[in-house]
Amino acid sequence: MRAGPLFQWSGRDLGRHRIKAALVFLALSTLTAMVATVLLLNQAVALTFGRLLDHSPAIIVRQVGGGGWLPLPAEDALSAARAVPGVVQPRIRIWGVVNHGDQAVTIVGLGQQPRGLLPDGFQSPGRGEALIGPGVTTATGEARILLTGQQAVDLFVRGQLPPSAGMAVHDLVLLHVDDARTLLGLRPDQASDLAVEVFHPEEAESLANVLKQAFPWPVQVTTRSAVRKAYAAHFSARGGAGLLSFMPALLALVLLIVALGAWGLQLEPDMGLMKAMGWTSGDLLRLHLTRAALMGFPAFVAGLMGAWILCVFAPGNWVTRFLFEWSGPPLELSSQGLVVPLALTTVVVFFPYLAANFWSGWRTVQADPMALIQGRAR
Amino acid sequence: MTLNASPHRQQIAFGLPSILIYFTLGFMLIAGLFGAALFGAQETAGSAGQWMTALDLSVPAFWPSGTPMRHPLYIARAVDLRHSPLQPVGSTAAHHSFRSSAGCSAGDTP
Repeated sequence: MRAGPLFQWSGRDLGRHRIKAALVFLALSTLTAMVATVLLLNQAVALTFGRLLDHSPAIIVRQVGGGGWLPLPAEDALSAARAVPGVVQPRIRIWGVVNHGDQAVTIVGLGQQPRGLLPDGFQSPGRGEALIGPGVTTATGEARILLTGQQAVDLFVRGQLPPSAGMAVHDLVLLHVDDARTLLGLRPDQASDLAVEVFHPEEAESLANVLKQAFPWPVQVTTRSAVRKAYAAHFSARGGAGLLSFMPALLALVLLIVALGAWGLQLEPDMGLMKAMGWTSGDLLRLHLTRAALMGFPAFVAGLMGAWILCVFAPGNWVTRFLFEWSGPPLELSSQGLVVPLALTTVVVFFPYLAANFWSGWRTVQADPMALIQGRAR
Repeated sequence: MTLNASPHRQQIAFGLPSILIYFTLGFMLIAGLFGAALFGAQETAGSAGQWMTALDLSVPAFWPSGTPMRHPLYIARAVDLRHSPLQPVGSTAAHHSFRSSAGCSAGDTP
């Protein structure tokens, strides 16, 4: 049988059972949207994180001891790094974690600003001044912030960093490098760690091994690609866990499949009649699957569309705020980011739906026409 | 629809409207989805990326300061965080990856 009449008969069947078709459409699209939302959000977080990571230093070198991180002798470290061929732009970083009230904030010391002015027209803070991230709050009406590290330092808050940059600077406090050293207990000749770039990015991994031998003290060398791999594994595990949390939703899918089976029972007399009138088993199976696809495919796409709208266009980011407690700017999601969630949602939701329809159709078309007509097929 | 309607009218009455509705709906949804994917991707990380470059930050501020996921290299390696009840499930995964892939060799630590 040609495709045209199959679609016509399928449409006719659906038209005869509008309420049931609408309910199945609603159930399938809702289930798809629930699963796809979690997967898309996780993918959006991973994608946004990866893009931001492109802006991080290629290699970080830290001095370590038995207890962990140790301050780095700045000049010696710079000299050792410059001696390694292929390493460019070695520079020290002054940063660390200190207390603000009973919360931790990351401080970054600026002063010998190596890369020009700060973005968005901001200027580096002077001595006793601070720029705070959008997530850092001060006491009402006060423009001062008290940070406690090795020593307590009281700073004047000169401004707040833009919320649009919250993904990078949410709980950051920028301050003068001398204040940062005081807070972290660093001597003027010491730094937190060393950041370097590499001339050929593909050489970063091999340069890491060379760098490790270039310093006269034990160091931990971390490349951007190692960071990327580690976090990619984390996001992958997180996506899998998110999918597992929807195992109960598979119960809904089972109920949907049972409902489809019951619906198929009602259509059996019609199928028996068609078979008696000369329709082949192949025709009937194709009709059954066409009917399922005609209803299921738009429902599946509607669910994906709904998930997409929730993830990207939801006003106020309420979905991301609810699931991830994310209050920053919207996450990124490109067409590349669609592939994995789309494939997983198809495997979890749409394939079982089609398989259930194939199974019920296969059982029906194998039965005797008279048994189908009389409702004795099962 | 009456029983004596012609097959042609039956076809128009039953078949075409349903087909038109479902296919139009499906087409619009697919076109909308991929249109949004291709043209609606928002470059929201632009400003944050500039700040990361300017401040030489290693990791975005997706996790709170002081947690292993935010500064995995900042945690003392003498502390094994696998059994910390204060961390959410899986939060130390990246930290342990660093320990195994980029950590110091045995000779570097006492």
